[in-house]
Amino acid sequence: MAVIEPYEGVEAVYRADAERLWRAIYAFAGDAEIASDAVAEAFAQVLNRGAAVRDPAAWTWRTAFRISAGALKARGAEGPVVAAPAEHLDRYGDPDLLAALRLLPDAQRAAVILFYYADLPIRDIAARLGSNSLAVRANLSRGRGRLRQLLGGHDG
Amino acid sequence: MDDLRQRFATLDRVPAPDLWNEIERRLEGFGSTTPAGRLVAVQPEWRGARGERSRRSSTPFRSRRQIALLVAAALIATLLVGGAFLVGSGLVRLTSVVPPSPEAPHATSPGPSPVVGSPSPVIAATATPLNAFPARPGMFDQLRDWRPVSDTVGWVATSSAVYRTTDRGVTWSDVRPQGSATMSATAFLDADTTYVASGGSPATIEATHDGGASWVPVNLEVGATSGGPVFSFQTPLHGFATFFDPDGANQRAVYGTVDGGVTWSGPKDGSVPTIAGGGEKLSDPLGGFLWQRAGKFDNQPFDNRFFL
Repeated sequence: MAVIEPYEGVEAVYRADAERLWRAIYAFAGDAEIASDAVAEAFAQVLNRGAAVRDPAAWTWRTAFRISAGALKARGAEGPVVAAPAEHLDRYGDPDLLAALRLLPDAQRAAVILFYYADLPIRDIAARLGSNSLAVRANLSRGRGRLRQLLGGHDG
Repeated sequence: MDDLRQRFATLDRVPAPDLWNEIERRLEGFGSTTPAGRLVAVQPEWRGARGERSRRSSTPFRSRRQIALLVAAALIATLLVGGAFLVGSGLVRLTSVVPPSPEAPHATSPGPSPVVGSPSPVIAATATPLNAFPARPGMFDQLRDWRPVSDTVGWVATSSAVYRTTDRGVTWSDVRPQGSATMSATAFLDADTTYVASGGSPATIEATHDGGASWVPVNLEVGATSGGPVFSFQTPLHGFATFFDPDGANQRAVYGTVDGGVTWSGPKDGSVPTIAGGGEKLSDPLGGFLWQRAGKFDNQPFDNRFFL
């Protein structure tokens, strides 16, 4: 029987970041199942790689976003998604915000979530999305504008 | 700028599940030799809008430093395994690894616990537990409920105990929770997750998410409506317990949890649809509750006003 010693750094990341990451992915994917799958898979992968991963936090976030984006793409390829009713979990947060987020393109949505919710500087966002600062800045600015526009009616 | 930040802050209120068991399960699935097969399947990797190049990140084991670290990790792992065998004479199990809870230290009051338990991510073992034993004569005489949840794992509740097998019933473990005297209701959801309730007032609902290794008990003051509860779960973390008046009056108390039974909100006993005729019973959910009457399903879901 293989004895796997959880890599301490990862455990710390799990305690500090797992819930936040899950919510970020939930906001990104709009689907609790995808979020749970992506986050669990990312942590399992980072544990499996052990010391080969230099920055477990960044690696886990990037991987979780990548997996959920892949899942979204796969679901999109399956056929037109029936306009899903807002997830019941939305009600705990800000349903308008989450609904508006779903209307943004993937890259913009990811940038906006990482900036406003995860509170990361542009450079880190780029690292976690496997992107670069310029692209993130552009996506962030576009996403922010569109989000304001979408939420405008409710903001008063 | 701040308005958006504030709106995003509300995301913190969305209950996030504890995924440690699931992570552990997947880790075991990888085995000890192949590092990470699934990530490859996620290709093509997701990129930002401008199609920029991020080749570096997709080749994880390139630099000398990383290879050196990998070798060091392998060495450490070997040492650990060897040490574990020396110390534990081969009986090292993952169940003993309990990462400290992120919140305050675990409350250890044995008496009636407050409505809020303390979640602790325990790593579940899917291997045969050490204390498993073959079924004894009469063990299942007071059978209340049973459910096989996978090819190998199954749960059985008798009037006073909960048993779990991980090897098709060859051996069993007594995984009964501490507090429950009677099993007035059980919900065996999957290999790891089970909810058990004892009736009475207060009623106790206990939940495990690690195959019975640990339970989170919560006491609920249900008053006169102490029949049941009827459990109905949409996910292992999210579901309802409905207490009803055993004498058939139209009184119900519905409790809901979204965090796997650590906290229950309620009771809500508002606008339950009134249906004439006897034989009513609350049954399993399809997005809400189904209302069963005289042998036929009267498809009247609770109107989501309660907890959703």
